[in-house]
Amino acid sequence: MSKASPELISLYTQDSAALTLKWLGKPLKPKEDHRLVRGRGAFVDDVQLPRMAYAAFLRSPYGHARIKGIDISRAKSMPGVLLVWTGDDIKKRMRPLPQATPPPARNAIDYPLAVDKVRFQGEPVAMVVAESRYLAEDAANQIDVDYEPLPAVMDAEKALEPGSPWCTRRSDPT
Amino acid sequence: MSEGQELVHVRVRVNGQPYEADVEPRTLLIDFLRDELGITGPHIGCDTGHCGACTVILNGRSVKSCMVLAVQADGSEILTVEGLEKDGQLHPLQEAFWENHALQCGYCTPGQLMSAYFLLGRNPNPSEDEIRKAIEGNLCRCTGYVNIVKAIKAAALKMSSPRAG
Repeated sequence: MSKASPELISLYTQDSAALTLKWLGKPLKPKEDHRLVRGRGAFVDDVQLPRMAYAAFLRSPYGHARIKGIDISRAKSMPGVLLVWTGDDIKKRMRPLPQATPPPARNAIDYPLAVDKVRFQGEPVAMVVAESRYLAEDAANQIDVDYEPLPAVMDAEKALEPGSPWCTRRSDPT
Repeated sequence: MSEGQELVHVRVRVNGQPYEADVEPRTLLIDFLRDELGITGPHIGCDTGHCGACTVILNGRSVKSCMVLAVQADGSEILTVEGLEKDGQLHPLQEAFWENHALQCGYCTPGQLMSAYFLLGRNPNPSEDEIRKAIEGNLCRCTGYVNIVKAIKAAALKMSSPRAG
């Protein structure tokens, strides 16, 4: 932490009698820490609002697989479940996520929920919204996904090799 | 509550206050504290026992409260970060964390404080290695461990020299 120079100090003391060096040249205790060390941070997860619902995601166990079908019927009929969405529901409602990378990576078509296939282990495949987190997770576990596993690449250099499997969808076939 | 789940009555004392509620047997202690009792100082960072943000003192021992069921805590005495303060006075650990800039975002802080509290209860004068060992189950994603260790050391010093502060 840098200290105020003597010149600066004299400047302040000359120019403004009222201005004391209360803040400069010394470490300051962060104001917010007083609530944080007492467990009163009010993080997003601490906020309770009326009629709040909870989302849980079903994620892919495969690094690369075609989604042949998703059966959400059991999940949808469970008590407390408000909504179940898959990639098809998302695709109907939004355009692919904008890509910040330069082409050709920018040509990848990407949605918040997997459409047609999964491209990494843990990719969200379905979303359940329910009255509690426990119910949302219960229902997510009742979704049946029929996967056809595809070759996955675990290594960045191997991904560059000719004949390495494509994993992203592309908006144009270049 | 899902159907077919029999509820279990759980009674605990948290920070000296008695609480009771009916919960599903599978309810985790951290969810019981946060959702049923509204005690949101202990945080959920991972839900898998790795991060330590949910650490509380259960019958004198530090536990990750996402690894304990509420029913297992029935009849127990629990201390959370909210219980460290006494009569509006911060605990020396809380003072020291503040003083030494041992937090940035503050999310892991309640867990760090409870692990440190447990350590100082058993070992009032820990070495740096012992401090680091004591908080190895508490992850800080701001990576402020140096100042956390410094703060725990400072608190230990202050607590072992009574009336010095």
